[in-house]
Amino acid sequence: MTRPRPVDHPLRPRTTQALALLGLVLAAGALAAPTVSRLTPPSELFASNNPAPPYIARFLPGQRFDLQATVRLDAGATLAGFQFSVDGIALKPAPATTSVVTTGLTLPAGTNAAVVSQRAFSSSKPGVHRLSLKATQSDGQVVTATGNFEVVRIGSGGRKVKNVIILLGDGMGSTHRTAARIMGHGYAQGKAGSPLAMDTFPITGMVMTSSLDGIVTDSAPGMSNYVTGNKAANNQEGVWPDDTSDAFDNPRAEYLAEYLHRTQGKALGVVTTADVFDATPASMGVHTSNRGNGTGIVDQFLDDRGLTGLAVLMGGGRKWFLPNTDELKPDGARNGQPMNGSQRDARSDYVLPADIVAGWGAAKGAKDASRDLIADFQTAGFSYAPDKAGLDAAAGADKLLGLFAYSNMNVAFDKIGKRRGNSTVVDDYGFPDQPMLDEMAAAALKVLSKNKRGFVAMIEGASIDKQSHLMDTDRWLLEMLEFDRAVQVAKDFALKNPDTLVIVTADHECSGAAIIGASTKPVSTIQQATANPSAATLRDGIVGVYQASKFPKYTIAADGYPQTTDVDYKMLIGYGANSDRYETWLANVTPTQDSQQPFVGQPPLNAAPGNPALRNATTGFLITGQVPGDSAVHTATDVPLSAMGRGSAAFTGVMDNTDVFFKIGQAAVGGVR
Amino acid sequence: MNDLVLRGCAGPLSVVALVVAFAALPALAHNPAQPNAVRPVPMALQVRGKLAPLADTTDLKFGDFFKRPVGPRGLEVTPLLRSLDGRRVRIVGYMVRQDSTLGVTGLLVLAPLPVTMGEEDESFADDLPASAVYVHLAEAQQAQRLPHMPGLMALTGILQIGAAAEPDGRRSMVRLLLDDTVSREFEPPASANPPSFSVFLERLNDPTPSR
Repeated sequence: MTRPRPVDHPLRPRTTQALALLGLVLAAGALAAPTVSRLTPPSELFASNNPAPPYIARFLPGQRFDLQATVRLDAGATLAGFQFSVDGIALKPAPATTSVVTTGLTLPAGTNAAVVSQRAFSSSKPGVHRLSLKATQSDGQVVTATGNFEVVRIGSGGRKVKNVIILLGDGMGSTHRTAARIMGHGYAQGKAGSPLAMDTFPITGMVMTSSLDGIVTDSAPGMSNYVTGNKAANNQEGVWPDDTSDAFDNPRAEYLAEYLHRTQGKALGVVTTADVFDATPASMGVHTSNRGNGTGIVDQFLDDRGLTGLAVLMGGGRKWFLPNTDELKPDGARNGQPMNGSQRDARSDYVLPADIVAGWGAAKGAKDASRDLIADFQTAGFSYAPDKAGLDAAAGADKLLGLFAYSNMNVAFDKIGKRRGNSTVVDDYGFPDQPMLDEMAAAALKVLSKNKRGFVAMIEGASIDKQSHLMDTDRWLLEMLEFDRAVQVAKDFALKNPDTLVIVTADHECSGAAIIGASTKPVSTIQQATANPSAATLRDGIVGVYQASKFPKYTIAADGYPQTTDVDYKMLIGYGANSDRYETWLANVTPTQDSQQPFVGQPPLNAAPGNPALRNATTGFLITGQVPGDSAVHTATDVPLSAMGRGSAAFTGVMDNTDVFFKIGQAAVGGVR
Repeated sequence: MNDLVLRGCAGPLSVVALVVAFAALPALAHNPAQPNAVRPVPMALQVRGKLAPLADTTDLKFGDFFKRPVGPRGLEVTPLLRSLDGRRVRIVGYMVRQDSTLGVTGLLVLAPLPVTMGEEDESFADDLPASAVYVHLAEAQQAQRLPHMPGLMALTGILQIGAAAEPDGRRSMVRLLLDDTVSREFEPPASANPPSFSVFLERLNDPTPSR
């Protein structure tokens, strides 16, 4: 496509400029012609006429993806036809795999446009390819647009990886890892007493995490980019942006799990401590431009198990699986369905257009808030575990659904408190018997390993991020320790199953966390200082930097977690991406309120802080935030990656998050020597 | 007309812009549900200390809604909540802040803690607690768009339980159909009249950044 170049004008009086602009507008109207405002997959060739690498869109040989363009038509005109070509050869789409959408667009009012699509295209020829669109308007005018994409060459001849395990510490930056090592393993005279499980992995790299539309990603593209090889926009999972309002019709990129299930028959396991609809788990197999569409997301997990090979789904989020059928009838009666807290809703549900159904073989879906999704999972052969006891009972299952909480699961700090008998938080939340992440990981790997063709598993420590957002230091530290125990489970599995690749990384860093030092005073002194909180008492009198930080000592109990995090001379954490907060340096007895929990705001949870700007307001000193809002934010900082097992040697150096996909692809498709 | 009003404008166009802006002012003043619009909780509904009992009215707490622990098939309603279906109750809670329902009238959502529903990011999977109550204003106030009212409020009306579609596109589990006297408290205060043109110009001329 020939794109207009900016024209330099000499400086003129403003009114003259306005008249000139008006003239240009009128002239443009007289010479109207159709244009292409979006060409997908995205490329710099289309966006800026730059044909040089890096190529924005890259694929494994044969990996499927959608072609799409937005054609701006002249007023009153219609689209007469369109044709996608690759390397100058016109494509011949399979029947029913194309579409033209002219309504329900998100373009400015009055815009006459058509969104044209060809679904589930693939190319097996390595190299850079030119993608062209030719669209014809009803008056015969033709517009063309050109972009490019790359099919990455995969070497062959080596031994292929059978199992891929991705351990995703959501929001886990270098600070989180180091702080967990200090707390969980101790330092003396400058040396760590022992490494984290993830530290023992032989290969380490750094990952750039940016999304398609910003240097700072959210968790949707943060995960999606690892498992599609392509950049998604924030809030979007397994798709590229488009100009339609339907959140489930966006152009798709095939996921790693879909690709390896289709080509090798591998199974998929998704394990998280978050609600299973959350961005990271959904980005393993669900395609949507709106990460909030919980009903459609969980439905697609089951409906498209034939595409992904889903065999394990574990986490929180029971609210999306419950039928929502207690409709109020016109006569005032109801149909008797008990009120169960279902959050299923037609607005967040999905129905796919026919071209996606035909192209991808995806389930069409339905707006079915009344669906009993737990029952449907069971009918499909999944054992259902509602708690730790249920998880233990389902040990021999072939497929496993675990829904251990209404929304996000409780965090390790409070789950361990319950197991030790010194906390009622999980009881107050209504879910007294929740498993730890390492227990979930072990159960998942046991089920997944039944598939002789291997599996792709994603195991997420979700609340490393969530508690970092809240700047609840002691809670994210225990999340890190819990996550590292899950890493150990995966490592042990890989040692017994050497055709396994294990990757430990993060989708992004969260909160700009930094280990600033340690308290120079015992806990009792900090507690006394909270009676008269100020920077003088709680900062100047407490914070020890450099050698004053010494080496904080935590006593680790038999369960693997610190007996208490409030030790004398404890480690202190600062935040570089913080909102306003009051800091006491002490552990918060109760977690910050999570409004998605069913008993939030009710005794005794109503005594818990509402957000970091309210928490400890009378006992802490105010640290003014650098970001607005009431929680810390993600950062664009690179995150560490550790790898072990077959194919791990490739994961060194500084890499883009999409590079990880192709390294996995080499190991799983081409093999490694 | 003064210098400040003209600053940065290009002659006659600025006058047109000014007139257009002023023409829009009454609409802005009459539509309190602009993003970030806030009004205090009506005096009669504010909660200051322990509430006196009301005749023929049960005080219902959010903590009375569901059984603990949660069962494998979801939340279960307590016998108390079930027994109050169709009865007059009083509930104390916070109005949910929601900029997404600007077009919805005669409605607010009450929650046990201050929360915001947003269309961004997690949109429909927002922060609305399961025990949130959809509060419907009486017929006479059905056209009323409500600004956000921070702070505790005590609302009295007829309780209705069971899932139902709401005008904002969500489904409610529990609804409160406000008593007429309570509903009238949500009518806009008399001070919501638009400012005069001269006041408008004075505000434009006001150099304080708060403008």
